[in-house]
Order: sequence, then C-alpha cells, then structure tokens
Amino acid sequence: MIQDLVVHLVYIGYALTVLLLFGTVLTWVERKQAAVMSDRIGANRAYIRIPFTRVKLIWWGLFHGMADGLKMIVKEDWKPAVYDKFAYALAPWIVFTPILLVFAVIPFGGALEPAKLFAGIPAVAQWFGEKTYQMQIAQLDGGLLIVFAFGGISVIGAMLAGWSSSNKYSMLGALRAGGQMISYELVMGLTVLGLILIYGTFDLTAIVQHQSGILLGFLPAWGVFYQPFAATLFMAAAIAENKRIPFDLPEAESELIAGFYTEYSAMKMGLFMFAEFIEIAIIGALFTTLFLGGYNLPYMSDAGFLLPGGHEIPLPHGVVVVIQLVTFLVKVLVMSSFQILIRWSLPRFRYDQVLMFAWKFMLPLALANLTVTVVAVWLLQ
Amino acid sequence: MDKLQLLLLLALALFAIGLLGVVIRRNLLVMLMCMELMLNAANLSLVTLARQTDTSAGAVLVFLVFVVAAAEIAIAIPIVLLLVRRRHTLDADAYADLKG
Amino acid sequence: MEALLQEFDTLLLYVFAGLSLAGAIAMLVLQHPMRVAMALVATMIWLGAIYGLVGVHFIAAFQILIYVSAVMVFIIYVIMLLDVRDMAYTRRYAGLLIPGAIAAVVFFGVLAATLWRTVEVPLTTTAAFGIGQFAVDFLQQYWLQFEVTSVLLVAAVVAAIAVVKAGGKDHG
Repeated sequence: MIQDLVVHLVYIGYALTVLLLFGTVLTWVERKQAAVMSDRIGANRAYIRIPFTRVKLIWWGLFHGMADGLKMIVKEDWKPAVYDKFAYALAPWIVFTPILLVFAVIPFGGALEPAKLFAGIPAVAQWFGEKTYQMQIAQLDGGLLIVFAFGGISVIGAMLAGWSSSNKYSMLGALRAGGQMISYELVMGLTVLGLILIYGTFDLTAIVQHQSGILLGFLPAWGVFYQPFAATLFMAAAIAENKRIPFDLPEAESELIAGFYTEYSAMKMGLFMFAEFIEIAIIGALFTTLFLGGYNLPYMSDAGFLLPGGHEIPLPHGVVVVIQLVTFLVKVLVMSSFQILIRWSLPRFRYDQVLMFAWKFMLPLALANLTVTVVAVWLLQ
Repeated sequence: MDKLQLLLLLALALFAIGLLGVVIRRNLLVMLMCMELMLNAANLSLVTLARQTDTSAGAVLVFLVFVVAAAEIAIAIPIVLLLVRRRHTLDADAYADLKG
Repeated sequence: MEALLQEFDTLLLYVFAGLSLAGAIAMLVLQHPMRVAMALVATMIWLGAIYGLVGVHFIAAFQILIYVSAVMVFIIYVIMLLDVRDMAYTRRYAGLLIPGAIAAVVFFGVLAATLWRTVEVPLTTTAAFGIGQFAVDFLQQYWLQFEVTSVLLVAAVVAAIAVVKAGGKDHG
C-alpha cells in the first residue's frame, strides 16, 4: 500500500516539474524560434555573471524566462478599483489549476516494475515485490472524458477575469473568450470520436498500447495514420481553445490592449501567461498520446521492438523506461514547437470568422470524418 | 452514520436548501440556480443508490437527468431574458400579474 | 495501513460533503448573482469529487463536463450581460423569508427522520461499473432512452431558436 503512495508521489513530483519547466522553457523556445524563423538573433541580453569574475553567461537567451519571472514577482501589485474583488483575485487560479490537473490522466511512460529497475539494490527491490505500475498518475477508464471536463473549467476563469475588472474592453474580451472556447471545445470532442471508435476505449494508456502494433504491414499503427484528417482538425481546435494566434481575439494586442486580462498586473498576469504556455505543452501531450503513439518509439512496446517483417529486439527494462520517458518529452517539445511555428506564421482571424469557422466549417467536417470512419469500420469488420 | 446515510442526508439537505432558495430569493436568475441545485441533489441520491446495485440502469438514469437539466437551462434562460426585456427588471415581484 | 486508508476515505467524504453544503448555504446568503453562480460552481465541483470518491469516475467527468463547463458557463454569460442597477440586485429576500425558512426546516426534519436508522448499511466497495459496460448497456439495453434523449435535445435547440426569434420580432 505504502509503495503505491511513494510511487504516485514520485509521479506527481515528476509531472509538476515537467509542466512548470515546460512553461518556462517554452517562453524561450517561442522567442528563439520566432527569431530563427524571421532570420534575426532574438533576445540575448539577459545574463548571469559568475561571481568574482567578469564572465557573463548568456546561453542564447535562456535567462530571459527567469528574468521575466523575477520581474513579475517583484513588480508592484497594482490593485485597480475592480467591480468584484473576490472574482478578480480568484480568476487567474481558476484558469491555471485545471490545466495542471489534465496531466493526471496522460501516460508519460509504459509499465514500471520497480523490482527490475532496482535489481542492483536488493533491499529496495524486495520492498517493492512484484508490483507493476503504469506511469500515469491516475489510471481511470474514462481518461479522455476527464481531459475534456477539466479543459472546460478554464472558460469560467477567463470570463470571470474579464467581467470583474470594471473595464469595457476586458468585458468584450471575456465575452469573446467564452464564446470561442466553448465552440472549439465542442469541435475538439467531435474530432476525437472517430479515434475512440477505432480504438474502442477512452483509457489513454490503452490507446497508447493499441498504437504499438503494425498497420498495413510497414507503418506503425499510430493514430495519425488511422485518422489524418481528424489529427489536423484536432490540432486546429486545440490551438483555438488555447486562444493562440491565429485565434487570438480574446487577447488581441492591437485591438483590446490585453483583452480580458488588461487590468491584471505582475504575477496575476504572469499566471495567465504561464497557464497559456503550459497548455501548449498539454495540447502537445494530448496530440502525441492520441495520434503520435504516445511514449513509444515507432514499432516499440513495453517489451522491446517488434519490427515489420517479424524481427524482435527485446530490451532490458531500465532502457525501455528511459527511452519511453525521453521519447514522450521529445514528442511534446516537437508538437509545442509546431504550435509556435503556426503562431508566428499566420495572421489573426476576425471574430465573426472565428465562430463561423467553428460552427459552419469544422463542425460539419468533424461529423463527416466521423461518418466516414463509422462506415469504414463497419465495412472492415 | 455510515457513508450511504451521510450521502443521502447530504442530498436531502441540498434539496431543502435549493427549495428554500427558490422560495425566498427575489432574483429570477438566482431562483434558476437554486433549481439547478435541487437537480444536483436528486442526482446525488440517484448515484449513491445506483452504486449499490450491479446493473448500469442507475447510471443511465443519472445521464438522463444530466441531459434534462441541460435542456431545461437552455430553454429557461432565454425565457428569463425575454421577460427581462419586457419589464426591465429581474425582480420576481414585478411579475406578480396574477396576484389579487 | 488498509484501515488508515479507509479512515482517510471517510474523512475525505466528510470534507467534501461539508464543503458542498457550505457552497449551497453560500448560495442562499450571497447577494450578487455572479457570486451565487461561483458558489454553485464550487458546489458542483465538490459533488463531482464525491462521485469520484464513491468510484464512478465517468459520472464525475459527466458532472463537470455538463454542469460546470456548459450549464454554468451559460448562466455566467447571461449574468455578465444583464444590468447592474437592477433593483433585484439590492434587495435580497422576498416576503416569504420566515415562513419559507420554517417550512424548509420542517421538510428536512420530516424526511431526515424517515431516513434515519440505527442499523448500518455499508456503501458497496466493489468495483463500480465502468464506462465500457455503461456504454454497451446504454446503446443495447436502454436504446429507447438514448433516442428519447436525442429527441429531447433537438427539441430544446429548436425551442431556443424559436424563443430567440420571437423575442427579436417584438422589437422589430
């Protein structure tokens, strides 16, 4: 019993570390990738001076994230005369917390057998016995439903933030944010229905395990090969949910100053920004789990490689665990970098275009995708 | 008091509080929200007792209550909005046309 | 260790029940409708936590998905759009305050007395039905209820559109 508690506490620590680190690293990735894409150098002024020397470490601008965080913490927490103090103070936390909670059902590794991992230290191996743990904080059979449920709580935070500041522009931003997030949440749910039909389960671990087979003889059985159209739709809907450019209307910089968080200063706005960057990582994690094979390399499963043609390459357990953890992080980083690429390439939608895009374009396409999937699955049975 | 009794008493208390809210609050939207609370309380008692049986009939009924609550709100709030457009107030006393 | 975890389960159940009751009482006492809505969101989230603790995780997901992120977002949207200077926002209780309170207490007392018993009936601790079983039953055994649900939702959408159009015609 207490072994379960220890393992799950380690998982929670890992998840929090990974998410908060991703939040800060992605601010640097955003700046640097934008600079590389536009053929410039980017921000490279923040440095750390090694004490007692004149050596300044710049490290390609990595310390700008730290400088931003420090600035936000020590900035004066200006308290405007808001309409509702309690909602104003609570709103950033309602936006920030559910995004961390979504990671509880995302598997970041395969099965962990501590006895095999600590084979060199017999006392620890004996204490764990024969237990096997899935590397997922909460193993629930309705995992994907919980992802969508927690994703919807952030809408209330955004709307409260805009409403409680007594500011017309914030209110407009809040109304836009609410409408947009609700529409795209619906579209996101519909796009993954075809995938759930093919895999037959909501459990994210089972979905990843289904993706370690072989499709058509030579392709890895990843979701993106089963449902390429749904993958594109899901990515578009998820970027819209996160209120990133090109769906940037609730925080349109040239129209609404800062949209629904205009009246927030210092760390409270820092929370909103941080929540947005962590959600980039979460969307990347969801996309990899559903469509890109999760924590496995192509053709890999918990026991080792199973290549097309029938070759098997068994691997020791420690190597498999490390490969799975690293693969998951690399895939999430690649998908986050893809979202940042889209952000710096596309112009912004108009607000009526955003909602029309959701209801008149993406919703029929998602339903068409679902219909084609249903017919195909029925024919192939 | 075991878990089952605690949950049923909680459902009962939430239902009574919701009923009290509908009767004593003046604002139309707050009355609607207290009705939602009553629906939630009924749902809690359904889930608690459905947990005791082995079939999933209880879960189906709970799902139906969710759907009915959502459909009810989708109609009730536009009706309230139209009423407010006529009388320009949310006060329940302004709609006392049938009184006396 | 097992006993300690059982105790922790019961403690969590009491905590969640107390918090949802506090949220419900806050709904009665708070004045501004937006704060009442926030109290209702809190109550719904604690009820979802209770469902998760009892073991039916997918019903907890439904509760948060349908109630918090759809119904409450709708209610909060509407509260945001309505006027602040309304008289209904300053006077809180209707005239039936004292009789209503007495009636509610009597109602609760009568039903609680019928519900009270001295013999303990434990809550089942076996594994709850999973979402797979629920889905199969819903579509095979209770398919009529499924179809009736979809008809109800279509009727609600049509009615909402009709209500909005009728309101628009009044103002030209």
